[in-house]
Amino acid sequence: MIPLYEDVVRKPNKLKNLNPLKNTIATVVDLESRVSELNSYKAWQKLIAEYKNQGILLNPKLRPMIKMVKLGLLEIDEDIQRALDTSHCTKKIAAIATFDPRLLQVVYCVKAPGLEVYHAVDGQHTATTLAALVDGGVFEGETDWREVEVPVLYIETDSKSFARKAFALINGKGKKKISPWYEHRTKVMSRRIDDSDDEDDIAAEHKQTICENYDCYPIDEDSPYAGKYPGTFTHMQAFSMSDDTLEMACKFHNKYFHYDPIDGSLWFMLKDIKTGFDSANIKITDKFLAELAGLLQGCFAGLAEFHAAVHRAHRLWGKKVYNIEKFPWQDSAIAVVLLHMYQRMGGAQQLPQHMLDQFEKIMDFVDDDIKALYERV
Amino acid sequence: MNFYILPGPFRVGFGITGNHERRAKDYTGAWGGEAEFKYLFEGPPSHVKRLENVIKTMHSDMLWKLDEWETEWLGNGWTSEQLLEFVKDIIKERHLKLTQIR
Repeated sequence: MIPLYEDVVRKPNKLKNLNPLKNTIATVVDLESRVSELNSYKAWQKLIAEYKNQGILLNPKLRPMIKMVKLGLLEIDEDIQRALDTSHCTKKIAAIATFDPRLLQVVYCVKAPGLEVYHAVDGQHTATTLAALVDGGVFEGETDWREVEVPVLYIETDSKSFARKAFALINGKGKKKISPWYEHRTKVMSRRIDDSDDEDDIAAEHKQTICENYDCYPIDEDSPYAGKYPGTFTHMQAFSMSDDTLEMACKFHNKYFHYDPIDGSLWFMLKDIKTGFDSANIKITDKFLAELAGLLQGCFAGLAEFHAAVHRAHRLWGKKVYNIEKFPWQDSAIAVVLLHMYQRMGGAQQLPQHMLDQFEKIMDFVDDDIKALYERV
Repeated sequence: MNFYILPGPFRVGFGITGNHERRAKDYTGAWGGEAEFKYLFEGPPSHVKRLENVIKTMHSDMLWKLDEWETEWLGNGWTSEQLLEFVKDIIKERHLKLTQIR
């Protein structure tokens, strides 16, 4: 028999106030406050102590310099930089719909000591595209690209190996990557603070609002709130779902599991159930969702342990049936295993047969204590 | 499966095990002195694991940290009885199927 869902006392969600995307006015802090923040970080204090301990004193002249340099003075070392991606220049950088000269990036160079020659270690696509646009007569009053000046950030060295390392560093190694959450944040804040009318920004803000309406909050993976506060989630692929499905998932979480952070399985589970039921023309009723919640709560104490149990069963199934030690994970197993369990525990809701035809043998590999729950039925 | 609360020589600890007698011996062997689980709960593995994970993730502030490593020992000031009450509250509010057997 499917366990009945038992209500859990709802507490105020702390993310209502802590939500990093709730601001609708721009907030500015000075660099001094950031420095204070870093100075108060214990690991940073240890690092500075280690600098002093080792007697390290850095030469201020080694810091990069910046200069307006004529494009004609730039050189590209083919053994350092990647080959020119002409399609990238044409379809991405210079595309009419998106090209904006204000967004052109600085060119990173290595300058040979005593010579006015600048070896571009990053920014060849920007420099080449700009030069070719000038050459094509697109810029007003400019005809000779060689004379056009661009901002260049450079370091002076005759070491090519240093240049090579600099290139790797600038292209990601050592740089904090923009996370999917940060990309989402940029869109949402562009809409909320700057009133952007960009379609992507509007769509992202709309999805954010759907989540917030149900006390669900996207946060960055390295956020201190991750896995800690109810309603938080780090799985940004949730935003690739349709608005309807996203709303159904957030509503389900908020109604039944508002006391937990959102487990990634929620998105796959409800997306697949919605798609499967829709294609089989079966209505998803509130009663059915309540039964699923009861099953998840009663048998697994929530989605996180259910998710872990499906992973275990899937791994064993792949190993025993296909003799593959590291059987590749399939997200679609989440919804299907839940439906199999629902059916075996006596659930009366009609289920899409095309879903039940998948992963049936996995049920032989679920944990014994779980199997016992439906084998008794 | 069991969830246990263990008064250690320096602080209060907790954990889960499929065999509490053997686990107690593991502690005894490591400490060189008898370890006894003061409080013990029993329940289905999913519920026992959830209880442990709720403490370790949602209440990680209460854990004793060794550098950046979050241990299964509580920070200073916690008594076994306080942890017992805390655990009972979690079990009650989340309807976890755990029963206290010691």
